[in-house]
Amino acid sequence: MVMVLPFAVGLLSVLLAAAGQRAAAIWAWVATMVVLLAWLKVHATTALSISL
Amino acid sequence: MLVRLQNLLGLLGVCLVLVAAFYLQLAQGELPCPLCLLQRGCFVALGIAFVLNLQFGSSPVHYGLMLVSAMVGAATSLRQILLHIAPGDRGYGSSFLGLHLYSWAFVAFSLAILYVALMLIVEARVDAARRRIDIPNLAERLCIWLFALLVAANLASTFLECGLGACPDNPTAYDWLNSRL
Repeated sequence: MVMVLPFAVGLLSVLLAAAGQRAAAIWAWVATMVVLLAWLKVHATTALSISL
Repeated sequence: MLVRLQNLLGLLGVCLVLVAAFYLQLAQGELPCPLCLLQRGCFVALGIAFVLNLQFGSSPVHYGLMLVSAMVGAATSLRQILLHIAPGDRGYGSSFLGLHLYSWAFVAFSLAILYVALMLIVEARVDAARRRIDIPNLAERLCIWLFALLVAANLASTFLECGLGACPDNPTAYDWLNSRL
């Protein structure tokens, strides 16, 4: 799980938007969201190392 | 004008949240956990949608991106709240006004959903001719670049903390940085 990935793709999306590339910025946003959802799934489904 | 001001205020709100998170990280040494980083990522996704509205004019697609970002962010923070709901659990990190930061994140994402609803109501009452695409003014451009800087800072900080891998569940140091020193 590469934790820097959502920020790297998110930064790309902001820069594309600032450069006037709307469609590319939106696709980069979609990629950011896919990574965030994948990382959330990993966190929500793996066993926790905590005792309750 | 009012529609653009709403988007500027929304983007400023996201920047404020990211600055506050950095303040706690740098001034108080509270390193973000993996779920905390995911919540920051959702704030970044929310901010991108505000940038799209400012840069290209408001669009239903951009509002959809805002709602998805806020809902995924709320789900992520709710996941962290539920991790610490058992009696006797003191929660993760410091608290502010009695709530931990992930609880505040849930409040912020919920308010963002409400804010987008209000934006849509206001926009529906604005004449279509006044919703034309304008070039962002100086204040809007500055805010967009401040947001870009904060996203880049999060990228750098996460890299120093985790390198190109997963972060520890309970981070206490900048692992990648320490491994190079």
